[in-house]
Amino acid sequence: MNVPPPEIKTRDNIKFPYVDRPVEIYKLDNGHTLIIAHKPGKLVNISTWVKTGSINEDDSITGISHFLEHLMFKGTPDHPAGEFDRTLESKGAVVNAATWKDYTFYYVTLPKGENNENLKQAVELHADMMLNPLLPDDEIGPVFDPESSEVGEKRERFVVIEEIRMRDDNNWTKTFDELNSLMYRVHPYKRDVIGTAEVIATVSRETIMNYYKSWYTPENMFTIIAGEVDSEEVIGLIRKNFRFPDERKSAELHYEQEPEQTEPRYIENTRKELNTGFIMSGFHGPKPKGLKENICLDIVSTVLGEGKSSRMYQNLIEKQKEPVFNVTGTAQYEFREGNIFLVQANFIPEKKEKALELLKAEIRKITEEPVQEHELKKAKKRLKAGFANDSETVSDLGEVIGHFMTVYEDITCYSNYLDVLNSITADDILQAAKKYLDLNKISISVLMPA
Amino acid sequence: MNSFNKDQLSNNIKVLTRKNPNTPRTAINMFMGSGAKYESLAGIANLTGRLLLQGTNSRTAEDIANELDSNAIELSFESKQDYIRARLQFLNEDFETAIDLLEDVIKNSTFENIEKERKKFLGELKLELDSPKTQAFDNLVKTMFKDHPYGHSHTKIIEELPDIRIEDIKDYYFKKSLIPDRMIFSIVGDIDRKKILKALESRFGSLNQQDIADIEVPVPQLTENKFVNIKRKDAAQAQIVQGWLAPPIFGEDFPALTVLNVILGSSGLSSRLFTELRDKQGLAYHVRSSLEALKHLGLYTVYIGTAPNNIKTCLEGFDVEINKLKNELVSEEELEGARTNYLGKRAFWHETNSQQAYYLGYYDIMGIGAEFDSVIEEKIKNVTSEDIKRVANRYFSQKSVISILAQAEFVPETV
Repeated sequence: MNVPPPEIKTRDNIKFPYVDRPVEIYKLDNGHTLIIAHKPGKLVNISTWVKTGSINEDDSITGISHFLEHLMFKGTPDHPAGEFDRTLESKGAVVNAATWKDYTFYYVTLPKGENNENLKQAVELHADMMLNPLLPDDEIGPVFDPESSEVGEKRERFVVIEEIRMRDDNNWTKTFDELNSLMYRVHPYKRDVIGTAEVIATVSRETIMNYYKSWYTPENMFTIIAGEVDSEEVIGLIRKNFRFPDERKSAELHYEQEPEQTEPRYIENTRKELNTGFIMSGFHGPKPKGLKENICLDIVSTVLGEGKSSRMYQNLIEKQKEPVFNVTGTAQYEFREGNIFLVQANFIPEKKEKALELLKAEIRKITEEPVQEHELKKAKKRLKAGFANDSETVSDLGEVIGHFMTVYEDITCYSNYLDVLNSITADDILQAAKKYLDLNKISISVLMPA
Repeated sequence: MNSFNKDQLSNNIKVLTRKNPNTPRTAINMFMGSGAKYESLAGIANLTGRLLLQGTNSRTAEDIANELDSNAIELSFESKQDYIRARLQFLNEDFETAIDLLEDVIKNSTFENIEKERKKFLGELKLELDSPKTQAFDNLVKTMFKDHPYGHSHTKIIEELPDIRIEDIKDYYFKKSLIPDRMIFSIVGDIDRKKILKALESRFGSLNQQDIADIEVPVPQLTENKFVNIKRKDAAQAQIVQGWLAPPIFGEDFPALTVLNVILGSSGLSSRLFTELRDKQGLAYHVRSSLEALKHLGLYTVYIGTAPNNIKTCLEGFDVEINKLKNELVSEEELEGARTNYLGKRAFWHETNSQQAYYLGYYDIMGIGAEFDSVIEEKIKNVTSEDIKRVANRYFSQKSVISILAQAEFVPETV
């Protein structure tokens, strides 16, 4: 390889809760970032997070980030399709990738091996895959008309179309996708990450390769190594293997911002032969980086809908004389440009109106009265325990770092989280709930039996 | 990772402990060797597990939920074919609170909330059956284990749930489950073994030993090939599952079938089903095989979710891969890759205290001893390609059940 190894430009380290040694962050002179998290044990997790996802798409290429993720496994000049999976899985690796609105990431978790042999090989193969994908036409498969029943050779295009079909059969996914398109009208978040069959059946290799070159740039990539490793050895491996073959600079991303939602929105879909009804309702939340508000809504979520002591479980399931709901819950989905605060439930279809009314009453209450002291204390403890959970496996540790690097764009948000959490009062939470969980701005997606 | 201590309370309850220093959370599993296999009506084991969190003599269900959540203590009950398991996990600082709560629910549950819990359970089952994949598997299991408690699937539970009385629950819990001889604690964390033993002895050491013989559970039989189907409107994909009876967990064929399973389709992106049916033929996103080892027998399945007009091609694809295993020896390279894959994955499944506590207790409650958690490594290493061919012929020459769910016009008359 003619490209010289990148040099380290900056070094930082940062303390993580429940992780003994500081997490190390290295910025390389080509823009690529390396993060090392030390965790004792035989396993090591290697991942690269690319700051690209459906946010980087428009209608003509919807689903391309995810399709590319599939095609990245289809070989490089040095390693033909399948070799990456076969070689690493035969060392005991778990290998996979995922695409979401703000990022795409690829990971390998495996035993380091004697003298770190597996680690070395995994970094080499992983870097090769990230830097030199061929995206071969014969693996992508010929373009076809998704409406026609006559099809030629079935290759990766079909795999993704089957994934679309699979998601279509998943009632929660379907309800969420409908909610998502209800909440966003102009922002690229409006598109489903999985895309459409039309685009997947017809998008050209050239378009995919252009997309790859535009966004898989060193400045957009974060490589994370979590495990019991020697930092110098890892730095050496990364410098040796992550030598980007060309001068890649990220393209500029332009898109419209979502105007503020000023009215409640509602959509109802049906499906034949369902036993139950599904509701997902969402509010536009804060940006993750605005840590304090973000944590306030994490607390709201805990109090309202997480665990069996939560208000929704107690009031809507345990204390109803006759059942209305089968399950209830809340969550905050974190996106770089603004979270979605979700309130979701599965219910008895005949009781849809009551279900909606009860859910809204719980939401209203949390925007009108401060949470009680014991609820606040409970939420803080549960959120703290979540950090213990994050540090238990190399995969979780890698994943939390990647998420914070790409969605928060600031890893210190993770290390500062518990301090900020401790400072939050019931009034802070009330203000955040009032601001974000306004029933005049709720979006509701319902899936009912036809 | 492999070492652990084995102790006993004064009433014979086994206690397996492993110390993992510098880990913030402790995991305690408590296994009772009953499960669905001792049910007189489908759903008793599950309903019992659920009712163990629904109130004791001194705590309401809400009290229990509040105490657990305020201390970030996780406590849940899982009912499987061969056992009920309490899963308890907490930050080390909350040991006393956690174990006090466990004691209370295990010893003093009233089971009085049965009507409410029955309705909740029914609602959740209906929700799960809204998933086409769950429906197809449900139909397979119910058919494979017809008239056997291993066949107590969701739909079977829905049928029998209305008939379960509180007396059935109490009988099942006190006479078939809470039996010290058939109970195991497995505990992994930054723990002090002596302190653990003392805490458990004082709380559980006085549970009465009962003189109850093992209940006879017949070995399931499958005497003919069966094809079952569900016609479901609006199903975008066809769900196809084929199942065979497999060896029980202590059977001599278990290790070979485990390696075979890695080769065929349990593992990641390089298995035969994945490369042939997904990568080369583009038939599916999700295709895999699975081996579920039970105490009295096992269940081997292959699954694919595909476009409905691919049903025939997929079934033929299953046949081709199964026949290859029966007729051709696996190459040394593929075999070695599969063995190493399993051993590496094993590390992945044993990474947390919670996972380790599960495996220690699991192997012991299944009757093969917690040591099996490490013995299996040696057994896997010794599997040969002849072993794989032999077990393929032994199990895949037996009768099977095929379960298909699809829109009516795509469901074949026969398979």
